[in-house]
Amino acid sequence: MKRIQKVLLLGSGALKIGEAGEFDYSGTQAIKALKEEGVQIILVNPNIATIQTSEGYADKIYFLPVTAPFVAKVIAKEKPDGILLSFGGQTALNCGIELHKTGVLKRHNVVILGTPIAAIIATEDREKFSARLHRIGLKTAKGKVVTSVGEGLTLAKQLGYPVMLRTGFALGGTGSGIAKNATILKALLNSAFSVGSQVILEECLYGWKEVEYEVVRDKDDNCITVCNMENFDPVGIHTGESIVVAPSQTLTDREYFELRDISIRTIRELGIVGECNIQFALHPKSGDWRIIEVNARLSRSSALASKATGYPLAYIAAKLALGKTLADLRNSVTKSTSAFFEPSLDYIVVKIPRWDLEKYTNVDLTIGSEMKSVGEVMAIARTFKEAIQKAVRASGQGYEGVVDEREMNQTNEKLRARLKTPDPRRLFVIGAAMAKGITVDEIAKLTGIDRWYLYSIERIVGTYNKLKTAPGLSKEVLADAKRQGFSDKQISVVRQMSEDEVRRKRKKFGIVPQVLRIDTMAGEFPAKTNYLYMTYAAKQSDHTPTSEHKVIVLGSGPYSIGTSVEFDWCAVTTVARLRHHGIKSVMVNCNPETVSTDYDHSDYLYFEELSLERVLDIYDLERSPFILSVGGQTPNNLAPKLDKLGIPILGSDAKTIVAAENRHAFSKLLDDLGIRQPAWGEAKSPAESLAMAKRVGFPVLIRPSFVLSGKAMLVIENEEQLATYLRHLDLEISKHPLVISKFLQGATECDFDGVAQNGVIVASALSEHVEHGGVHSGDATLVVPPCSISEHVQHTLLVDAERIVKNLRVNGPFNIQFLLVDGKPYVIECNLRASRSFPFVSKAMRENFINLATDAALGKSVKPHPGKPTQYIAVKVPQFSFQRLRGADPVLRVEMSSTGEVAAFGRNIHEAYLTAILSTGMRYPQMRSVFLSLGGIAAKRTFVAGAKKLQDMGYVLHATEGTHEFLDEFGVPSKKVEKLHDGKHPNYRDFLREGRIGFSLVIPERFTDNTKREVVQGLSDGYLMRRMSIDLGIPIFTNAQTARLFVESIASYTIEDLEIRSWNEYK
Amino acid sequence: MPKTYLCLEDGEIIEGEAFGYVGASCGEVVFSTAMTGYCQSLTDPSFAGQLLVFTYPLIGNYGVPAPEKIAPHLMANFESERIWVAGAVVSSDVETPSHYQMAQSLSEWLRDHRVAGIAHVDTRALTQKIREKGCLRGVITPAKRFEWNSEPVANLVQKVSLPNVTEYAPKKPNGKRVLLLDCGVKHGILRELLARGFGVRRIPWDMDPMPYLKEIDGVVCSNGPGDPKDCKITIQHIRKILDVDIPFLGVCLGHQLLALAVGADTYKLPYGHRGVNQPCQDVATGRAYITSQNHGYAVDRKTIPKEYEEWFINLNDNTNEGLRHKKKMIASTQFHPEGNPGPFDTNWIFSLLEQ
Repeated sequence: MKRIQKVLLLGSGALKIGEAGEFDYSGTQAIKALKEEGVQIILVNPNIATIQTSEGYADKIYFLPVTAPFVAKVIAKEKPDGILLSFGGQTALNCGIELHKTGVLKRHNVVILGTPIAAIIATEDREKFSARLHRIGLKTAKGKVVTSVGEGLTLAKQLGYPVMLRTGFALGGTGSGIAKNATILKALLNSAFSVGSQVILEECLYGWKEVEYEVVRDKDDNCITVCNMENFDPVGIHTGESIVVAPSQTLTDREYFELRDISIRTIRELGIVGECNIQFALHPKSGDWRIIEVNARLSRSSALASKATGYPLAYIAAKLALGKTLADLRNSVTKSTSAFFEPSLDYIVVKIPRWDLEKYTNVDLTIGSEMKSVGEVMAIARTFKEAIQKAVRASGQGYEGVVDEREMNQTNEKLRARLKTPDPRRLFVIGAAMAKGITVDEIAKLTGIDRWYLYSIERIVGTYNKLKTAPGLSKEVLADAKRQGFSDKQISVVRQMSEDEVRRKRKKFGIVPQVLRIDTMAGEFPAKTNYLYMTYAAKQSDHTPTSEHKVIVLGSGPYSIGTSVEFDWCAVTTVARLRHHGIKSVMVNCNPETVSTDYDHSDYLYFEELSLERVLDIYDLERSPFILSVGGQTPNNLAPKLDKLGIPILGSDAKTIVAAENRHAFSKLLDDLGIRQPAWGEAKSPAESLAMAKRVGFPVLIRPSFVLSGKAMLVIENEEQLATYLRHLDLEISKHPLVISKFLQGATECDFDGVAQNGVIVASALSEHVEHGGVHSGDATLVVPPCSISEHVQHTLLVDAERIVKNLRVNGPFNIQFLLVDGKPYVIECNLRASRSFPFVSKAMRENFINLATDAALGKSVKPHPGKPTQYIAVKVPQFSFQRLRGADPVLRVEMSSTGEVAAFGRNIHEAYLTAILSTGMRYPQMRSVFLSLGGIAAKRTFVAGAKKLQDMGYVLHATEGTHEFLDEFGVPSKKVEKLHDGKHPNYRDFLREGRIGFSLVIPERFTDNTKREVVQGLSDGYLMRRMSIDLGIPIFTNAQTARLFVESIASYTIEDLEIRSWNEYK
Repeated sequence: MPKTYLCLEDGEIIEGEAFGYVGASCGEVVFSTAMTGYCQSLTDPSFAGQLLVFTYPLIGNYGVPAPEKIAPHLMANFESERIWVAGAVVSSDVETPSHYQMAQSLSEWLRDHRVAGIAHVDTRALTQKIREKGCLRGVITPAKRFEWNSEPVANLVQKVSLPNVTEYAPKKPNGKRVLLLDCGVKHGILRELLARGFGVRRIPWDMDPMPYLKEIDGVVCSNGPGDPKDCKITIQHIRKILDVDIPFLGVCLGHQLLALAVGADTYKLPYGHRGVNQPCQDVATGRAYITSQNHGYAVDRKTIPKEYEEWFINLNDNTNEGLRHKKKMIASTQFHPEGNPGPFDTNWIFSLLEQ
């Protein structure tokens, strides 16, 4: 093997359902491992919010699409010796396979490091995969690949229904599902063939236990299994949708080691060098097993396994890829023992997925064999009961524990139905079912969940009842409840006392959690690292807090819509800055898909929930000030509570944080300062709502002041819609008034990110949104520096911001959102914390805002670089995951629906935008043909120029009736496509199915087109056209401004024209 | 559940809840880091006379299967015919098992075998104490005081070795035969031998093997409890066996006995190796294996005679894990190639007897 001096590492791009922050963890660990070996690292990853794309990690970073055409050019330019494909998820793996198949790697003499390409291909092609494993006597699910609907139906007849569908080359199982009959199968096959050409139909293993092993092999054939994990949910529920425990709980020694042995035989047969994940189905009544899947790369499960065990799988896999052996390497936790070992846990880990399905319109709300969750949390404890209850709270969805009274207000019949057809709240449904007398046996039958887990839940329910009925809160009752993971808050609600009273009583009894260390060896050898968790099932602590200068930094909690890897970047950057100043850091987070929960980034890592109770427990021990402004809204919300208890918070004063977030206080401040804001008011009744809406004038933006998981904010255009909205609102507005504000149409929106010290702005960045106001800033396309806002207006914004900041005496990061109407700024929001766009503006401006904010909070002198970029433009583009969310309407709204983001640089906005949008996985139009359906006159007007441009470029325009006629008036010819209701052909369904189009453009007519399903009756043509485009894999735009920008961009650039420049080259 | 106590010889008294048999039980307190396999560990004769602390906090999850006998004095699903551990120490409740093969709960099983258990113990703290102070004696007792009333056992092997000769027929009538010196053999070893077609003659630890040597094709010296130096007679027998040119394999205690027989020395480890994740490396090939282990003594690497070589070493603490004669098929491993509990990655070692 030639000496490897320069390695190309492929990232996974934006966070999307099925590929989340876990690949920042794996890529970042790989970089660390490579750097230790003195290897030069070239990274391709357009995800600008990641740690791995930050200064101090890779030697060169390309913010480019992880696709073969772009990576091939990077290879030609950089001439790396080797390439790593297994650290960037399926995206990187697919790209690598294509680079191999097209001969690019060979041509440039680039060696694939780690697992050989043949092994990767073997695991990706199910037929080859099954054949190879059968040869060595291993069992895979019966079934085979089909390439047409007809073939599928025939095979299903042979296998017998139900059958299981899976697609090759896919993230998280798109087009997967269980078909109970031919009708369902046909629908699933149609959907699957829209994304791929191969579908696997196999025997249905629904109800078997699902077990996974993380297996490592080195070049000398030494193998270990680092961890096994068992799904609480049976096969049939995607592992990304399942509650997962590590290690397995219901497997006997024989079962455990038999599957382990099969895992090792499998990895040897395939010849993997590095890490792989093997999924098994294990029959609960016979012990029969099948290998379901092998992922020949780091995965979500391997990230979880790394955090669960303390074994740094990605780091080790990178070392093995360079030719090291396991016996050469040390255990990174103990530092004294070998990396060739299998961690022994003396605790249990529970992972719970985080869904945000409520945020979408028309989406299917059940969970099954397709992944829909957007994040996950992990909890560590010494009983399953404590771990699962911790995890429930950590998932941040408003549940205090497994038992929740809200789920009990339904009939047993309804509960049974929900046990049978699971949804994201299944755990609470189980709790409620038990509380209402449905037996463990029946629940086991309905859910397929092993009784062992159900017995534990039954115990939790029993303890809940005991808490409720006990005459007093005795030491025994309280201690028992705490050991089973009940929170002080839930106990306080049950006992009708305050949370603080419970806390004081508990401490008086001496019931406090202990801090234990994850040492990978179950106490057999001491750990040298401070990877910590807390539990009540221990009597002594492993950790003695020191009196060093420390700061406690709270992370973001689970990824969700609105909270993504950007906050992990902020947290990790803060910790690094603290270290720079010689200050020790205490990190608290509970999200296994992060870099911040790698124990070697902070001095002390508490893998813990971010509840007030737990944060106070940690404070009681560590006695150090907090930084709450870098983990998004979850930690920020703790500021007033901690402040009330007199706990020191670094940065802006908690009172000003509240002042900025309290609508009344902030509004008054703006009025006092003479800064514009959209007219608004509160309403406590339907009559008041109407009066208020009329006063501010339609359209209005309406939202309840109290919301669970960010529901129900929308734009209302007239009285009728308001009436419908109020009718469907499931909320007592007399208690929780509605906030109604003027919706400014056609406004330019911008984000003003900045850092201030003692009320003076020390650094700021203005990002202009491409989309007009009305699209959530998290779903907007951001441009830095702004392209269409005059210097004069920019100055006005700065002055407004300066006055707000001065008045609030901001000390740290802040974000202000402005709307511009005719050059006049209106302030719509202000948060005194790091915003989602902090990593983007930091990297675009080459000014680390978090370093400045940390320095400001620490009271150090802050020295920003002057100036802003002049030679280039940076554009941030949202990543949507609509393809995964069956039924969801892919429109942009005031509520956020994107799951991630990418960014790219360019000489102008068109180059940067095109590179960025291609980085989200959108294909450059393959055909000069476009489908248009522009709702509303505004969208039509906005797009006329674009349509002309398309015509000039030789595109054939296909338009629905209204659009067709409108274009006609402007002399732009188009072919008319019928809507469905006329019964004429070809209608849009025929047309889209034929698929002979480059992209489609379906702009909703009204803002309310996209409101909640209860508001809009029936399925509109617009919805069907958009959804069909998504399901058929046709690139689609649903916003007139981005559509226009896209057309301008492809008019200026082909893929070949886009420059291949690393971040360093944009100066 | 009633309260009970784990009283240690250093005066520490740990309160917990009784499970299994409610009564007093004393032994050396040792810990195992295996996360599964409590049925195998509890029936492993090498644990005789010990109080076993499980570092994994959730024990008993899959209950206990009905005993399945496949031959005289040979179980399919346990490592011997009874529980040998003197007492079990666990972190949490054990009362909600679930598995299709389960016949009874762990607590019921211990009760039936009159073995005491104590739950709700901070097993991690206890493990750390053993790690730092070495193994110490303890008593599980409702009486809340350390009272060592175990009858002194001169030799634990004597207690666990089957007192009579047992024959297991080879798969084929003319198949190879192995003589097994039973110092408290784990049935996994027997099953591995039978699975390879060997016939086995299992003799008590102190019985003279010489009369049998002519009819057999190899000798296996099994695992067993306690200090190897207590088995003087077995060591003498091994010396005699080695004088005859016959394949020899020692496992665990058998390995230590071989070492003592050829002139090497053994010593007590501070807290032993008990678990299923011990990394061992074949010194000659560099190949590494994850092994199952249960021993409190080790062979002193510096005392290995020159006609022998070190076969395996432990990658965690560099202790000796195997011996091999440089020319003859005389070999031994400190670890358990049969797993049970744990991995069986090294069970090929039994096949060496086939040559």
